[in-house]
Amino acid sequence: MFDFVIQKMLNRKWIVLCLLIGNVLLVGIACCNPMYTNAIQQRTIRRTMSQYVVDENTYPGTVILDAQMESGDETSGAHMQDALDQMKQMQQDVPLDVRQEVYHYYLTKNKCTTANKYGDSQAEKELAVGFLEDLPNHMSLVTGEMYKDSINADGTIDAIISQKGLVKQKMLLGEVLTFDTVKLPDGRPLKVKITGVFENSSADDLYWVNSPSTFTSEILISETVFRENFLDMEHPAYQIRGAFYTMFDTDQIRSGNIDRILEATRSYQNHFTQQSGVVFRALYTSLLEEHQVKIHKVISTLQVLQVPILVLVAAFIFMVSRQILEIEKNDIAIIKSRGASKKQILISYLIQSSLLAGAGFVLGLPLAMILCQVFGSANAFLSFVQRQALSLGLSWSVLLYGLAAVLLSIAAMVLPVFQYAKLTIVEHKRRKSGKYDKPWWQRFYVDFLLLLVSLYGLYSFSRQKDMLTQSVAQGASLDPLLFFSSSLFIIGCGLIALRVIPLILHGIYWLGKKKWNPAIYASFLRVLRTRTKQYFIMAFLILTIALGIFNAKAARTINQNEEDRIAYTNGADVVLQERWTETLDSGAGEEAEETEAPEATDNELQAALAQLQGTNEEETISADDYTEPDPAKYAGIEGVTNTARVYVTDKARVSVSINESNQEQLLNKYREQASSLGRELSDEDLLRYARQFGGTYSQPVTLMGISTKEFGETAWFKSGLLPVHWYNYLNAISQNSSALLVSSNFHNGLGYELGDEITYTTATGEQVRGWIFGFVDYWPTYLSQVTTTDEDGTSRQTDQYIIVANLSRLQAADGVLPYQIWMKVDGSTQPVYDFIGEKQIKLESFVDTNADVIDMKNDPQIQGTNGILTVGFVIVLILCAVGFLIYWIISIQSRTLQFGIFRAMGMSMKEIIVMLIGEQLFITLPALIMGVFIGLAAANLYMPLIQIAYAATDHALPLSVAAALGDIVKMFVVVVILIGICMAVLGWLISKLKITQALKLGED
Amino acid sequence: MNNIIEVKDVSRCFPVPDGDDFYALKHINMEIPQGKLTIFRGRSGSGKTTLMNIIGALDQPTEGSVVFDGEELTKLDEEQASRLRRTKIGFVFQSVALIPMMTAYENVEYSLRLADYEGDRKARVEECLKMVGLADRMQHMPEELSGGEQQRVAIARAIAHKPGVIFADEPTAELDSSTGLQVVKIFKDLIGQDGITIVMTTHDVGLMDFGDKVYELEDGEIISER
Repeated sequence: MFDFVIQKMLNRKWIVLCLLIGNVLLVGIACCNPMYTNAIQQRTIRRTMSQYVVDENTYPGTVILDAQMESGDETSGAHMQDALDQMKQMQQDVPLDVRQEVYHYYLTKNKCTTANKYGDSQAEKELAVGFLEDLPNHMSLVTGEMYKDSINADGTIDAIISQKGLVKQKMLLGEVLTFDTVKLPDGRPLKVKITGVFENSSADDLYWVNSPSTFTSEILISETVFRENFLDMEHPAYQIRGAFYTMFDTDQIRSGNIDRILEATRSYQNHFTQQSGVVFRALYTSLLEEHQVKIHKVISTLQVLQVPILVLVAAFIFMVSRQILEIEKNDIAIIKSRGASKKQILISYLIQSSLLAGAGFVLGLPLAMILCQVFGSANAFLSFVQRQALSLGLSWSVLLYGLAAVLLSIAAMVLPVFQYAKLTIVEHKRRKSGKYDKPWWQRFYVDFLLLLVSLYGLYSFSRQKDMLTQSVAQGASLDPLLFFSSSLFIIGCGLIALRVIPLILHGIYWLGKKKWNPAIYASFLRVLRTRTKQYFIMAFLILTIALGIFNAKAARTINQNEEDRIAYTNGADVVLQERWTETLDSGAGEEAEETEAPEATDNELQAALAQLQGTNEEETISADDYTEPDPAKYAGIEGVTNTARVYVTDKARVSVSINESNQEQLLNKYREQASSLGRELSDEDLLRYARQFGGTYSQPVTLMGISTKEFGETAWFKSGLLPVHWYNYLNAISQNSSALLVSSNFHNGLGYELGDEITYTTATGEQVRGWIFGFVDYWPTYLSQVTTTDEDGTSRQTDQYIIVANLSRLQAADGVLPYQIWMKVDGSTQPVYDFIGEKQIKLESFVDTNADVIDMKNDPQIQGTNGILTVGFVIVLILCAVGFLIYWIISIQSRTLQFGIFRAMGMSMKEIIVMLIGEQLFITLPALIMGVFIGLAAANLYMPLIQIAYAATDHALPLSVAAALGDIVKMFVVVVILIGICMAVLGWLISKLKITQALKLGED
Repeated sequence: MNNIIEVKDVSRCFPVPDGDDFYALKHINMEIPQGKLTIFRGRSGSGKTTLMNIIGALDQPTEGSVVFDGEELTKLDEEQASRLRRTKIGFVFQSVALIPMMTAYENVEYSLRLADYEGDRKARVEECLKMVGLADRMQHMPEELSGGEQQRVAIARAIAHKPGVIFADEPTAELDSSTGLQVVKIFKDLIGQDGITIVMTTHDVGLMDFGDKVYELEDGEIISER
């Protein structure tokens, strides 16, 4: 049996090779998801960890246990002992190696006196005396001597001190400190002699959780001496703190052990929260928890994007194995007539399938690795950048996915055999002569059903769009049903297209029935009359093309919208603000934390409501504090094409007097403020409060001062966001120095009309009058709503107001206040960095849109999405190519006799080829066109919803579905090349065909 | 008597993998008279089908020449040979050789399309199908017809474009004897009505009497001529 199967496979090596390709792809795609997410997890963990080191200057693998025991309090001593034991235990339980452990004990600060060498005055200090375990191996002496491990003959104890400590405590080597309150066990007061000054022996030694420079009020003595004389946890005699640090190796964190790490760590955390006097902190827990939420989102997104590709590959395998069976059905029928049982036939195919699937598994795993590297370097759709290679590895989940793929593939290969194994030679002949039957899905209208279901899905998702947005903003991943619905849409439309295409072809055929030349006439009849045979290749083409287009559009849209959002919220390519003065302390601007009172008193309420009037004075700034640096210097930087001075402050206010037209909206704001303090007020009360404060309402606004020409040339703004080109708005306010552009909510929320006068208070407290020349929904950097998430997880949206004024007008009122420099940069922003470094310009802020975009592209979700969509697209093309070729080769091989007849009837070779081209066109072209339309329709319908998964919390810009014309062209080029290759192969096949042989073949 | 085809010293050799060439035809000389039924007789492997393929412009001889209606076949290129076949020749094959996706009517009409038939195609197709007794089965697909019926459609198709010569390779081989006889009768009628030349191969001894001229082949050589 086995030999028979092998022989059979060798005989059909080409088509078997195609089947193998399908299998390899299937396993490759199935496995690359878990492999990629594992690897990307590694990468993001590593990045998070190293970022943490940069930001916090602390090793994130650190676990800190802080315990304190009190003199005479045995429980506290026991707690400290317990903390120590638990720490040791934890090092076993957390599945990471310990890179470093540090035990630091010290007598808490005690007063000491010193006889200053240079005078007789007794200086008094407060110092801690402690020891660090294993210190001698991690330090070097700057000067002096190391402490001895025993008490000196004169009763003093040697100690060393850090350089900074020495300076800060104004101490000298050899100085003796006397701690009167600390007695040695023998009753004498503790006397410490400073013998040396230490520093860390190497700069990046993990041992120095707290660097030597933090030891400013602590002196270190020998461990032995400390332990022998002070450290007794059973009977504590001193107030001693113990700080125990364990540094776990964060490089060993894997997707596979995160759960165990967190679980183990949490159990200790819980243990210690119940212990008084002990503080436990594992720096990595919150990092890993955030990471897991994020990665979960990535996994589910990728899975959902991957499913249609998997289904397509499985369909491909199904199609190819059906083609094989189509060729072999004669053999099957003959074997059966000779007495082979259905079971034997099934087994022979099962062996064949298993062999192929097994080979697919073996070859698919390396493919998965390659695909993962492709994912990892995907920068946008079909574009790649050099990134650090992902470290890939096999894991159980990868093997499991691979196994599932193998089973799926075997099913796809064996399933059609059931159909064929039933045939005996008689049935086969009868079947051969069977007339065209409608396929089952047409008879039961499955296509329309699928479309209806998908549209219903679209409808119901669209209705809950806001809810969806909110839940995604809170960290949920998008409902996979949405993606499923889009796949259903594509399949449903594809099947309907299969009904439509023959009708169209029939129409064209009828139009010129009498006139078609013989070759085209034959192509028409072939395509129209042997429809079932073509259905699968047509469906396959439609689905692959549609999915390809959908993928392309999806990737482009996601990237484009993210890039636009970044450019829009940043304002320009580079936005920087120089530090105008050395002395300004930015801490003054920090807002005080709002206190939350369940029920506010009337006074508090009044104060809160008074805030709405701006009656309570805020700190204002003055231009006198600043000197303006030369803004022109930036214009000369290489690549910087335009610069603009943009003054932005959020410390401006607009005082709105309450009148009939805006009363309702404004009172609502009072109501909100009151209810945020837990008070519900009636309308009358609200009005009373409002009147009490002068009948005005003070709205905080963002005030932007621009110089219109510069701004227009420099800022990033997308056309189509405003009803007319935004230059018109700029021109409008450039004509009048008091002209303002204000956000639309001035109209909707505050009741202003076009042309109204508006008085705003600037950051310096100046009152400036202006006139509204235009309302804008969008303006560079302006977000109409900002979502803030409280600590308890509830998110709140606040309306944002903006006033855009002429910079000159503002400077006339306020003087010249620090403004931002916006730059438009052609090409790399590196020269800007170089310039700033060279000139040693001190910056308050610096935003580089390119860098932000790169950051965005490095986000595992975006990166993975780009990767999977690109890989999906490429695989679709490969499948198209292979599927197409195989279909035609088999179709031609099985029609040898027919070609013989055509040739004998006098058709020339050229005409035969024209006939085949005709067939190809009639099958491929409509399928291609339908595929494109279905793909475009699916993208346009579903992208606005799918985009939600990628959008940032605040929808800065309205979504636009990106055009993917270039990709469609790419796809068509590939398809045309394919048809070309196909024709070449077919031409070669046909020219090999001798008429006489063809006819002879027919005689068999 | 006019000869429409003259075969001069034709040999056809097929290369064989082991090195020796196999001669299917060895120095054949013969004439096919116009407007008559010529029969090639011989066992399978005698070379009769090869000979017929060569004089029907489907194959080229390795040596010698064939003059078909004044044209030297060996000098024709692909394109010219195809044109000759679709205008002047009709083929009927041993096994049923209809185009499966076309109805009986369309099969016949297709040869008219290929030959660029000038007249009323519909009338001609119907005429031909009537001639072979299938006027009532014109709209059937080949698979819905019996073997004899299919063969008759093939004959109708072969004669539709009024070729000068019809080549029939074992047209009766897969038919029962009475149907076979019917086919030959149709051939005789065609010769009588339209003056067509028919060349037919067969191994059926019972049909020899119908032939105006009979060549008997064995091992690539003519062993008798009558």
